[in-house]
Amino acid sequence: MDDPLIAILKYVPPKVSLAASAFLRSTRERSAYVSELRLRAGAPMSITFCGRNICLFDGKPVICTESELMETLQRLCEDSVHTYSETVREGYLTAANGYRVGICGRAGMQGEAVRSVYGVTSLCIRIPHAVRGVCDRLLPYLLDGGGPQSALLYAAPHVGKTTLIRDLAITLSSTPKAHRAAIVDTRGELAVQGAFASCLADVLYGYPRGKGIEIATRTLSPEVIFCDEIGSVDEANDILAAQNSGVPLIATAHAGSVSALLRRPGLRRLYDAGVFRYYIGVSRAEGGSRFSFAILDTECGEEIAV
Amino acid sequence: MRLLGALLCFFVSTCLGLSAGGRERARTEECVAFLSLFSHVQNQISYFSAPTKVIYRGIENGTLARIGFLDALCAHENDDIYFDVWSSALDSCEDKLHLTAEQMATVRAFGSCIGKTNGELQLRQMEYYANTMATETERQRSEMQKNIKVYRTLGFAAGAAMLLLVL
Repeated sequence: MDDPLIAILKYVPPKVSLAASAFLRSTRERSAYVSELRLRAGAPMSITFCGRNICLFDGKPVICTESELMETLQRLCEDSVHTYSETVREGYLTAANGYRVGICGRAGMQGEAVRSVYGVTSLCIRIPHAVRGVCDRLLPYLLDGGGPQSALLYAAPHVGKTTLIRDLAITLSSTPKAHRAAIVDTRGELAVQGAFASCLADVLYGYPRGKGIEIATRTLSPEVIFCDEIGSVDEANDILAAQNSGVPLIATAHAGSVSALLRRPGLRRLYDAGVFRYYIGVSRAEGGSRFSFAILDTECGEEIAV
Repeated sequence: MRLLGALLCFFVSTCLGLSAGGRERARTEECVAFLSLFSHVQNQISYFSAPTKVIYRGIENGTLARIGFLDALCAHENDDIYFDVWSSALDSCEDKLHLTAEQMATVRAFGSCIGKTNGELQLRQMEYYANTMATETERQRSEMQKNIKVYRTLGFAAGAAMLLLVL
């Protein structure tokens, strides 16, 4: 697989590509530390490098126009914006190779619902990194008792939850552990191209989380289910309905702390129902690549820092 | 010798008249083919929201296949960046098409809508160009009837005149 940052530069306007390439050269090609490219209409573009937001210059700040952003979006959609309308309305797009693009624009409303998004004003392109080995310190806990245990990984946005759960899914579904894993990849971010090529993983692409978990439990007889970014009450209800089977679920959610997590009604329901054994807070020092974990074991009420 | 020359002039002139009629017929066939292609694309977008690549792969049309337009549409499937394939396909077989400048502009404009916006807006723009093409096709059909007769008569008459003059 190509370097994901280099690959994405083919889609963006040439001036952005030139400025980003020059920046990369200045950092001695450390593209693995770039987590995001953010293009804005009529405002400077920025790159997130080692957790810091840096505006790029090409003599002067690199500023895109609205039509350049629209064209970038069309390229990312492979000239099929209509196919992605549903997720564009939700404010994001998952392009080929697992790039997730956050989309800002003007909403065309129909009653309470967003009918369409036009006049794109910002594109936030997140660079996926298939980093291996970041979950190793969690494995003794998640495999406590022989088989995988259910866990919810929580962190503020942009800490690396998706990278972590992807690594967990790969590790648990490949030898020597090799558990049958079902991956509910609603947004197409987990199973980036080739990531699960040598794993015992079955991927449900694009399914709603609850429905995906239900189908996985009913038809795939998995030993563990992975799911990214749960949170809403509806999802919680669906998960509760599907979780009676006892198949452990490993999922992620946005939250800065357990108390913040429990303020979200959907996650509160899952907590009260005892769906997850472990609640794992994920953090990373600014600019650092090493994760720290705060693990709450609900069975014994202990909190451990790893 | 003179008779042979006169007959040759007559034959060439009549053939020119007939071939001009053939061009009119080919132009009409192309208009009809593009019109049916437009409706295929509209259906694929409105019912299935199918990706552009898949839409292009599913097109079957003898006239457009003969011109090489369908092959050109599918030739870019594995490109790193898949963008504006319609217009590059049109460019690549422009010399084999018999469409007028106006018809060509309509075909190009229709293609420029594909995949560029959400389905609803796209279909509205496509509807406009499909209607324009339908009108063009109707006009082309009646032009063809009239022009074929005119070219054939002109070719024959000019040939006959030359035949008489040479003789």
